[in-house]
Amino acid sequence: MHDSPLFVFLGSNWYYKIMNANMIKTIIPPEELPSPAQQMTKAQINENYAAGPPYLATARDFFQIATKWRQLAVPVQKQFPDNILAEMFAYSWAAVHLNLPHQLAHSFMISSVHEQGFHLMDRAPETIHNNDNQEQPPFPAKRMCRGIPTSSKPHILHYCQRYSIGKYIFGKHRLPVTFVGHGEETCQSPLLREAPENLATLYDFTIDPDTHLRKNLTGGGGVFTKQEHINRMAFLFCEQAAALNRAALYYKQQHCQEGEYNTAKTMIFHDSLEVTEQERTNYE
Amino acid sequence: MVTINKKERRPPLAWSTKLNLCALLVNVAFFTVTYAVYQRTTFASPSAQTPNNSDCPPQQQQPQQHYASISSRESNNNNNNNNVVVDSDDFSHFHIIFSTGCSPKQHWQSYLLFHSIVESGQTGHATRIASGCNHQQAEDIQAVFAKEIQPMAPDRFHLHLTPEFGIIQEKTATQKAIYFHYLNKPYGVAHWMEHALGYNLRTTPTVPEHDNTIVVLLDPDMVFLRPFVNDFSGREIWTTRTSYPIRTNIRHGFPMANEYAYGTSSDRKEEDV
Repeated sequence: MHDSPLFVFLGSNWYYKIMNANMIKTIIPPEELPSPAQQMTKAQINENYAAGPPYLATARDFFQIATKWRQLAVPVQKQFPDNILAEMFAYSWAAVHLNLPHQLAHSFMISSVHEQGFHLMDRAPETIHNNDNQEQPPFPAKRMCRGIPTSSKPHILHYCQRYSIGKYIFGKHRLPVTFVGHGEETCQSPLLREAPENLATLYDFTIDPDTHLRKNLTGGGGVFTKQEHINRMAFLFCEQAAALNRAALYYKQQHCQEGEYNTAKTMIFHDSLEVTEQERTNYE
Repeated sequence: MVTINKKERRPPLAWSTKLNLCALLVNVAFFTVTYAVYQRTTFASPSAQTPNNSDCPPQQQQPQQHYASISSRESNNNNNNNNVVVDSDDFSHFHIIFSTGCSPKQHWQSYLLFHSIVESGQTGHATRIASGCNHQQAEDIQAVFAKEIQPMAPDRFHLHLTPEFGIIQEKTATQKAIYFHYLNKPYGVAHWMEHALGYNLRTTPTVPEHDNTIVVLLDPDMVFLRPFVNDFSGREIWTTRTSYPIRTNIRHGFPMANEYAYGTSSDRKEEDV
C-alpha cells in the first residue's frame, strides 16, 4: 500500500512505553535522574515533543540535543528493536530530558495527502495562522498542479511516498539513480513527463504500475474530502516531478556538452499514460 | 614608462604600515584556521577524529544541565533579568544539514536537495554529512562534490565525512552483527558539530560565532518548496499548544520541528514507494 494515513505517527507511545515500564533507568544515566521527563504531563509530551524533521534550533541548543540524542540513540533503539522510528524517539527523549519543548508545526513539511500542512492551500483561511490579514479561498482543482503560490506551500516536501494519479506516478525507488548527478548517463537521460496543469480534474483514481489494477482516490473519513485528496496528490506529483526536472536540467546545462543533452520530458513508469478499459475497470 | 630595478632596496616601512600588516597577517591566519576547521572534509578513523571519545558507542558523559523552566527562559530572552548574559539578537543565519550514507541513490537525492536550496532562495550554509564511506567512496564523493555541488553556491555548500556509526555489534562466531543505519544521523550530527563547528561538551559547549545560527536538520529525501526565515509570523499551521504560548521565532531554548503525530495505528515511517 502506498498512501495509507500512517506515515507521521509518532504520538507519545515512545514516551509511555519507557515510562510505564520504568525503563528510564536503562536509558538515562543515574547521575542525571530524576529527569524532567518524569514530571511531564501527557499534554506536554504531545504538544511539545512529538517532533520530527525538519528540526530547527539554535546551534547552541542543537549541540546539547545532538550529544544527548547520540547518548540515547542505542539504548532507545534497544527498547524498540524493530521500529525504524527509534532514532526519532531518541531525539524526542533527548529534548524532553533537556527540557527543550519544541514549537510544533504542520506546515514545515508534507509527505502524504493525509497531512494538515495541506490546509495552507485547501482550507478556509481561518484554520491558518495568517498574520497578513489577506483573505484567500481554497485553491481550485485546476490550479493544484502548477498554480499554488510559494507563500501557500509548506516549506519542505518529503518524497518518501508514492505519488500517483491516473498513470502519472513518482516513487523515489523507481527513479533511475542516473537521473541526475551521474555524468554522461544523466546527459542522455530523458526528463520526467510532467502532467497537465489541470491534472486534478482529470482522474479520481490511480493505476498501479505493477499490477495495472485501479485504486480510487477517496476522502479521509471526514478529515479531508475526496476532491482534496485528488488535489493534494496532484500537487505532490507535480511538485516533485518539476523539482527533479529543474535539477536535472541544471545539471545538464552545467556538465553536458551544449546541444548534446537530452531534454525530452518523456520518462514515465507505465508503458503508456493512456488508461485502457481493462485498467479502468479492474479494481485493486 | 616606469621600470622596476630589482636590486633597488625598498624604503623602510612606516610603523603604522607595519602595524597594519601585522593586523592583516593575524586576521588572515585567524580566518584561514577558522575556514579550515569549518571546511573540514577529511576522512579519518573514529579514534583520530574523536576529541573526547564521544563517537564511541554511548558511554557515560558529563551530566548536561537541564534547561530552566520555560518562563525563566522567556524572561531571559526578553532581557528582563540583569544577571543573565544577553545573547546577540541576530538569529537570522541558517545552516541546513542532512545525514546520508554513500549509496548512489543518496547522491541524486543530495543533488536535488542542494539544488532546491538554491532555487527556493533559502539563505545560509548547507552541509551533507556522509557517514561510512570507504576510502574509494570518500575520494569519489569529494571529487563529485567539488565539481558538481559546490559550484552551485560557492562558500555555502559543504561536505562532511564521518566514520560509520551504525554498527552497534560486530559479527562474531556466535553472534550476528547488529546494524542500524539510522544511528548515523544522531552520531553524524554530533560529529559535524564537534569537528566542523568546534563544539565540545566538556570544553566548548558554546561557540560564539556559531551559537545563534539556526541549524535545520532534514532528511536527504526532502526538497525545499518555501525557504525558512526566522520569522514565522506569516502563513504557518501550528499544532494546538496549551502548555506554552505559540512562538513565531527561534531563540535559545525555543526550538521548532514538524509534528509527527498525525496518524492512526502504525509506527511505519515509509510506505512502499
